[in-house]
Amino acid sequence: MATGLPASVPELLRARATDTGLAQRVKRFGLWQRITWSEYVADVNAMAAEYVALGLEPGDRVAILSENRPEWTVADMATQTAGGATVGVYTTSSPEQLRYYLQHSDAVGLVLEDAEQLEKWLAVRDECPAVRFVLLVEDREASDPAVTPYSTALESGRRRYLSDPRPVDERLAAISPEDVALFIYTSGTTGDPKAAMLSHANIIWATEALRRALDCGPGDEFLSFLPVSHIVERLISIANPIRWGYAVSFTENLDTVLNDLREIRPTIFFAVPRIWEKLYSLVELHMKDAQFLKRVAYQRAMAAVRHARSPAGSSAGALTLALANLAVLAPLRNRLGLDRVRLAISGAAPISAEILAYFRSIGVDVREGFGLTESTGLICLCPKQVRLGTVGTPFWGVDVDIAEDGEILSRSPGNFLGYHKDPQSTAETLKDGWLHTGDIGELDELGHLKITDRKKDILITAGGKNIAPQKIENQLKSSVYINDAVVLGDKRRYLVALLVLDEDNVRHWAADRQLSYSTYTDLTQNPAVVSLIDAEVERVNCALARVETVKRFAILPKRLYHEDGEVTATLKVKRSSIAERYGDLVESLYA
Amino acid sequence: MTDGVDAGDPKPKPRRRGRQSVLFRDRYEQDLQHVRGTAGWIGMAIAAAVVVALPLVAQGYVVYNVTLFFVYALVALSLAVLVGMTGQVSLGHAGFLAAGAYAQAALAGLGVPYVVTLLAAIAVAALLGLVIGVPALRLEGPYLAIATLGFGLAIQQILNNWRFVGASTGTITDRPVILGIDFYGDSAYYWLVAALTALVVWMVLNLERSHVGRAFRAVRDADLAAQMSGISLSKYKSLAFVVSAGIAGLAGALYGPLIGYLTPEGFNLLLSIKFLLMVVVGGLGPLPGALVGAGFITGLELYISTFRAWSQLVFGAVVMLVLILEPTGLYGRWLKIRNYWKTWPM
Repeated sequence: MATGLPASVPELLRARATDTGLAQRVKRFGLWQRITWSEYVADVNAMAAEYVALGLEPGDRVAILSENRPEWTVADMATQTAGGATVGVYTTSSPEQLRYYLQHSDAVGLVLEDAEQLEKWLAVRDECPAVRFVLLVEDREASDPAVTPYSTALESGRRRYLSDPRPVDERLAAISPEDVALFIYTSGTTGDPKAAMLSHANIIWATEALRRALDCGPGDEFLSFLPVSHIVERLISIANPIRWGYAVSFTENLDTVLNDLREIRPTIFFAVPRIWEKLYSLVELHMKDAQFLKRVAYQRAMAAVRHARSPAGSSAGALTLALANLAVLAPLRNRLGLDRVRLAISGAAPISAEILAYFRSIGVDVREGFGLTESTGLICLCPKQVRLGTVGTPFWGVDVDIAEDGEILSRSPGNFLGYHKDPQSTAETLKDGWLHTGDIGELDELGHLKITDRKKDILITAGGKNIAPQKIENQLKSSVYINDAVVLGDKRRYLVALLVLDEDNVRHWAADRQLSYSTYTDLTQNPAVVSLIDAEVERVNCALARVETVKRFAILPKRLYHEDGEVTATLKVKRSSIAERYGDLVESLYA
Repeated sequence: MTDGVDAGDPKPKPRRRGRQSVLFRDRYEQDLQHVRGTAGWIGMAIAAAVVVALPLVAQGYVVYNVTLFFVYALVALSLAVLVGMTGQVSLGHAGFLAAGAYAQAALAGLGVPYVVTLLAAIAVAALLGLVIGVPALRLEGPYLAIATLGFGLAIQQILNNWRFVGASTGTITDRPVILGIDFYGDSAYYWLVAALTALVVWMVLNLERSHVGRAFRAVRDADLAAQMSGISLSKYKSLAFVVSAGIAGLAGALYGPLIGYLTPEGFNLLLSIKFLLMVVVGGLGPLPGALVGAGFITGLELYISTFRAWSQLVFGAVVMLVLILEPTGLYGRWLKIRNYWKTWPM
């Protein structure tokens, strides 16, 4: 089925060498600076020439430890152009984790963003003798004799490529679709991260499937702020734009996302559930504090939407809805920077139906997707007619099947090559071309996939009931005061939950009530906060079957950090690690 | 194999998807524009048309008072530079106004061409500003207020005793003739003053956005931090006085020919306080506040004159009411209203 498709993304990028259209924007000194496709290609060629001169051989790995920025994309595409494979390292990684990635992937090169990341490298460099060259992007803020400034390497590469483009061009021509393009480390909610190897063909298929599902193309705007080390963000902000020619803007940093959103007004918006939850609670809290007129207008508008969506909706209701849209919802979307969004996608983790329903009611149709790193990020996506509670239908080229034990299986041209240095795990995951996703689910009568839970997370209570904790956790997380939840209760009489406060919102709530507290830990133990959370848990319990209700809960006394191994780099809670670390706390809930 | 999520035609087509956000910046020049967008230019054109056409439709009495408003607006602007931008209080601006007015009148009496008298008036007032500004460097808040108050009183006393400019009986001033064009009529003089006011507004708006304007604000908000960043306090504090006095001097030079007769009595302390009131009621800080304040106070004075004996009481009451209800001034209230709708509904 791969007939007629291009061979690789680097080859597609090269084809844009004379394109003077807008490829990327980056915010520097308060201004959005433009980077055209031809500048992008020239930088990639130069960097590839330098890599080759520095001794990068076909098949070698280069690791990148940086926030999203144009230099990331150049370092990545240059590696692939020179026949290598890129390893994206999350910027929140500890030096220990960096050492693991470098050693495990046998990286020969490393690209660092700034002084903070340089520190990490300096701490572990003696243990990574295979790394032959290290580039530093922000070279003005730090330097080290063993590290070459990125700009110096780029200039040197430019001269090399001008005097003789053949070494790079030969490498590019030699790329076969089956060659490894990317090493994507799975976020690893259990055990050491595994490196999924994705080929050029995998990625080309993914861009084709995305295009057929999303109809993206020139004129579209995308704002890149989630880590490009993640497969979906990488596809949407690097590979897909190269294939279909839309502009990508890189946000300054995570704190400026809301402002950048308003400035760029993207037409394609991809976010993880945590971001959608954040946007939702931002609006809700703002509206609670808003002045009378704004509050009433918002409430009326939301009521109008609910009425119009209900079976009792009449033509008068449709008129009110149109008015609500014009007077309240359209300005609200504008304020959020979501007014031009044509394609809003949530993925990388399950999102609660309440959040989806909320965004749908304000006129942003968020479509949930499902995929694994091992399937190049894509398996299913909700079509325009979202069926709440499902993750939609398979992408182009994907076959989905349900195994006897309920596990979701998928077969597609996106199925990965295997795990690096781990044939055993590869064999367990890929059997006869079918990818075993580790998720439990079912297909409904229209072929929409519904996910119940992670296979290994399913709890069996002492009463023998099978319970999917994820559903309960998502409902808990839809409270504006709860950021994260871990529901436990395997072989126990009842379920308990470990909760993490939504710090901003709870602090705000506490300030409104003039509660005094000193530290975050103190806040989590405040009786008023505990009763606030108790009420939220009770509200969730009302909608659950009796065996699914959370009988007792505890608020974790600290925030969760990637560095502490409590959440993954994409902020997914590592359940086993939490359950282990807070074992005493869990025991006390059963006492 | 299923068709999957499929939008059909796999060939991308370019499309336009709405305009860029008004917040989007890719050139610094976008921040320097005084007038933004088509709506802004249409508003400007309408405002300009109204100002130009006014003498053609309004009575002479109205034209005279609007001219007076322009003169007051210039003084209010000069105070906005000093008090609003730099944070230095002045209770002596009637003194700078008087200096400009008398300098123009005296030179015009000697037969000096009008344009030269205008520039000389600015220079004299600015020089006085420097004379006051340098010793004022050591003073802040109430002390500076008292010092400038003293300056205003001193100017009045000097004029009262200076025979050359008519001492306490004052001096007659005449409307100008520039390059053979006669500005004797109220309408002609109105156009002259309006044009000069527009020019000064434009210059002050630009000053505000220049590095000098930013230095002024830095001095106002955190003088220590400003000094640490290499901003010379003495330079910018005295520069603010010079600029402010110069604008007030220009206002004075326009004021004399407008009312036709200058007496020292006319430049009393009450006038200085009235100017300060304009910027406070209009809104300290943003420049349009000074214009709004000048308009409000000028209009209020005209209106309350119908209250005869009660007029000063009503004046005081209205001003107090405005300040109690809206400490950020009339323009501050407008900004709040505008912001309310800008952030609608969130």
